[in-house]
Amino acid sequence: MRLHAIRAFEGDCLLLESGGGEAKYVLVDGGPDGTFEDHLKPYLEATIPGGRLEAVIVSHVDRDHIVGVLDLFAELNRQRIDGEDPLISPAELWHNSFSDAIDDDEDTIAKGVRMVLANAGVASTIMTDVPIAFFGIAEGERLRREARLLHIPINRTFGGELICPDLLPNPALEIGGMRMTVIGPTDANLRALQEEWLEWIRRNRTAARPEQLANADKSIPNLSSIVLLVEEDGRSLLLTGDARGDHIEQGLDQAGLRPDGTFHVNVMKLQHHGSDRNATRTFFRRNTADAYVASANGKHGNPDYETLVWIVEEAHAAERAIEIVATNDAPSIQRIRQTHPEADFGYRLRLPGDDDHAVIVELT
Amino acid sequence: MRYRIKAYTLDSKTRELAREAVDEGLIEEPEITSGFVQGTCGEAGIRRLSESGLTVRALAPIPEEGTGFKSATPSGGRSGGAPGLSGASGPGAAPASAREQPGHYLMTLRGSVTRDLRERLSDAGVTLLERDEGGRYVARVAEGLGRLRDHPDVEDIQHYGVRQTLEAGRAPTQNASFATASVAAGLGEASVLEAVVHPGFDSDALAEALSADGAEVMATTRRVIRFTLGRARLEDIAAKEEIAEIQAPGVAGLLHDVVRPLVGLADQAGGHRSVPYKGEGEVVGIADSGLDQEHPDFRGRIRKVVARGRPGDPSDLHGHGTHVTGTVAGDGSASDGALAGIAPATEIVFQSLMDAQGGLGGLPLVLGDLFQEAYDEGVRIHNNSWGAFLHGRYTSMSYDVDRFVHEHPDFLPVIAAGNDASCNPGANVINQPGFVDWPSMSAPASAKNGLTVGASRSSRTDLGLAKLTYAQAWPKSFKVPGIGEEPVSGDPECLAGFSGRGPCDDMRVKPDVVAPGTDVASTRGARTPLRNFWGPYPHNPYYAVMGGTSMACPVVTGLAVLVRQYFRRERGHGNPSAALLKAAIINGTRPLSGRDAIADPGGRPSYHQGFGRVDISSTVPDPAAPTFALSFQDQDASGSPLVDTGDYVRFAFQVEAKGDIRLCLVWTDIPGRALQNALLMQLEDSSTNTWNSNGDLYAHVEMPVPDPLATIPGLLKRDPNNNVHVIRVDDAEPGEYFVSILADNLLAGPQGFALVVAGPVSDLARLG
Repeated sequence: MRLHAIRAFEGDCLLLESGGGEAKYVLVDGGPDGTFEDHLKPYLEATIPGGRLEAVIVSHVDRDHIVGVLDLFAELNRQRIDGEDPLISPAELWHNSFSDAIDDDEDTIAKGVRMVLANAGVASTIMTDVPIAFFGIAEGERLRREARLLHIPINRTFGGELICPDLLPNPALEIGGMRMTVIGPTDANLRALQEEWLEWIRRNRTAARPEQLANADKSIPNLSSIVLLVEEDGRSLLLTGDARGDHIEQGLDQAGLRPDGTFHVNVMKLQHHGSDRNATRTFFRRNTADAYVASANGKHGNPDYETLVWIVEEAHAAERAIEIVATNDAPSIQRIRQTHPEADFGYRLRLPGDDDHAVIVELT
Repeated sequence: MRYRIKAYTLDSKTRELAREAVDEGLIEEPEITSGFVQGTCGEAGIRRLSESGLTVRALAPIPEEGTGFKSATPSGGRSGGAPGLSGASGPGAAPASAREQPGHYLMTLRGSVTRDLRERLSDAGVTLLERDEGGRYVARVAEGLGRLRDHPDVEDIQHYGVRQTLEAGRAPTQNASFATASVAAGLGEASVLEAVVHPGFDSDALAEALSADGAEVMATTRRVIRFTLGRARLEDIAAKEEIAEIQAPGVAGLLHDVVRPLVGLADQAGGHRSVPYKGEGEVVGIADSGLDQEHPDFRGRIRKVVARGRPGDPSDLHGHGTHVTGTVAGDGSASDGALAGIAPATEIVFQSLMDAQGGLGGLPLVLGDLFQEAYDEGVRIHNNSWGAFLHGRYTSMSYDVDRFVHEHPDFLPVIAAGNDASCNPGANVINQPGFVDWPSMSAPASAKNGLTVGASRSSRTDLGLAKLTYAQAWPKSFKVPGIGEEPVSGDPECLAGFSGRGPCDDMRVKPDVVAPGTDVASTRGARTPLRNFWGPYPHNPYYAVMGGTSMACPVVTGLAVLVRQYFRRERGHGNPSAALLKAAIINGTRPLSGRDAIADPGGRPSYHQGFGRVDISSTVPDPAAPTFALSFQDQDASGSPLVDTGDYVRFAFQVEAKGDIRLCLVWTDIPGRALQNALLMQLEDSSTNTWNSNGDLYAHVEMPVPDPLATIPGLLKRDPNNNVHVIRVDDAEPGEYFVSILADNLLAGPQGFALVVAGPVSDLARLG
């Protein structure tokens, strides 16, 4: 099994390749604006020419995860209409819509967020990232519309239902030789998130002035990420999306994967681009990997230097030799090299070459 | 049971009939104007009047007790005092006795506002300020109610209190539906509020008072103060005498080839156009996301681009504005003319609105500022493919549109109806195939003086979302089978499922017209990702497919440019009014027959399709090969004969051969939620036939016509709230016809109007 971490700027764009026999591919997220044209499209053309994706998985609706998939689908639609051979043929889309995952039948939360934004927006002044959280909902709907247009089934493996371990009779699935277990979002995660959204609306509905809203917590929508454990030939990979550390742990516990409160995996894709808001030092003490993948470019400070310190120091303390794989040489990566030299702390840093579209992590 | 009635006297015959009825005592308490007699009459009398050939409108039944106010005495009043003074019992209402002083009242009058009635009220210290959607008047009373208690003209009077202030702007809103949702309990309401000031008050002074109360004032315009409560209490602010209403404003968002044949421009590249105009010499204004100025389809015709959203950068990051502009004015250079817009030779003034965050930050607080900027560049037709979803509410944006046009009667804003129509379980769902719920009109589409455009379906069956059903494309909006199972495009007789439906919150009909707005191919900006569109256009990256009332609106804007060119070039009319362009376009519409277009409540106009789909080929005649004649009157307010209620003006024309005739009357009304000045149009032939305008309106709606009168043939129903009136006569016999325009009820004259008559007709000759 092989993980291709495509250089998705500040976002995630991961191509999963099964080993043994005929390789099967799964795309997890598409990165933000620019990822598709600059990296994903040429990489797919070079790696799987005219091939097939067993699944396209959108972990959640943030723009730095979904836009590249929207671009991919738009390009497939253009090729279909222009009579060209498709770049690639996705067999299925995995995606949890906001309304299915978080909202109620009345779309209460979507309407509430829209109201909050409307209130602040009428002043026609600056709101930073806040609309992104809201517009993500619309982007998710657009994604599903495009999939219907391209006749790509949505969540077929899950009977068209929400991807949530509580709803699955058997959360483990086979794609090629890869065994995929849905870890999150759990029903408990989603209920907690619904509460957080309502609280967000309550708190911010009086934030009439945009600068108040700009200071509001923008992380809530991230937390519904699809989290997957992928295993093949005794090797394992944890795909975390932007899920929060405690939610990941809760999902692993629920799956019975942390009987003694610890968990080890060969490769861990760092949640939320290595942001220190989605994890703690304790998380990395209890949940360990041989290799950590940081998909980020320094935007929003990701990967956070603190996160890297926690990982390196915890591994060093436990005398585990690890590898940190980063898609870009972000300032925090440069800094950890200086403050925690690889030789002194027993870890190895790996970056793609300047002309590479991806950095590859082998799981063999 | 007796009723207040009006009998119309627009010719010598009906005048004589009415005089006899008065002499006989059939019409009691008569008040005679040139255009009608108003008075009281019993049921049998109404039947006799109607059968004698008079056109009669029954107003309200007269309460059995006769005179005196009909409302109950509020508790706490003085003994025997203030009969009928309606209780303003909402939170913070003052005790009844406190209202025995100057202030604002809601007044129901017994008749139309004739000159005499106005003088009688004036003698009693009453100034009428505005008409509300129920036909009542907001009035300022100078000396208290003493002299109004038994006033013969006043049916009912009610203090304009806190409750009225809070309820005035309160049609169902997104906030209201939000508040009732299951998991939303206790979340409360929007925090940014707008206070609308009664006419005649200084909003700056009031803003200072709000600040002194602890509110945070964000902005102040002539009649609107935008604020947050801060430390102030809503009830205290609503209790201020100067404030007419408090509402939660909405935020504006963008609303989102085969089109031309559907609107009568049956041409492909180089083919025949049904009219020879392409917008030469005209300047069109478009306020939208941004514009790709390098697109070959606009080359050499961009007069001005204003960057309002991002200083110095009017470019189009979204794609919406470039697409809209192509539909209005693209010349198809990048497609060998195949994808030309409607007015491919017009000059373009573009106002870029999209800010760095993807919102419409370029919209000014007062829309008049946006329009003025365009007006100063020579723009007289202005496209607005944006709006806020407000369930048909008349907001400050709607008011701004109406005010600007009232002050600049030659400026026509064309406005998208909005894309928020849905059909989900609950609310008004009628179990009828294709039915889409109402009301879902956006603001400022709810304005009276703009031209509001809904979306019909295009005939496309291949590109964009054409192959999806409405439920597949927008599963959250179309959960009810029926419309949900219908394809997004393909049947041009149907409406777009999402197209904003009327009525407005005063029951006024909107949209005015519809135009194709699904799967429309138009110009694509070079910097715009394909993912922002409904789909690509085959083998040509200069174009893409999009849909929405946003795409229908520029079709009508383009047509308005051609119509203006027609009046200027062919008819020697240098400066056509907005009302005239609107009247001509509405007069040219064809009603759609799709089941969603004629769904309940049907009639013409309807809340679904307005007056129908635009069609240039029946709007203005092709001078080279005319299939009909067009006669018109474009009467501005200053010289208008309609000065007082009851005034009318009458025109004669000939129908020269048997054929269909179409008449449309439009006037630019005084700004304000409800219709302020009501006109009426009546058509007679030289024998005994009479046609009244909008006669088919509400044909299928339960109307508040008093029940015992329902069987009287020809009785006019409730006073329509519209400033657009049509009459259509199919297969009209040749001969002389007379059309009268009557000032049925004017708050303030003089009132201008535009009248367009189309068919095998002669010019209009003004009589008398």
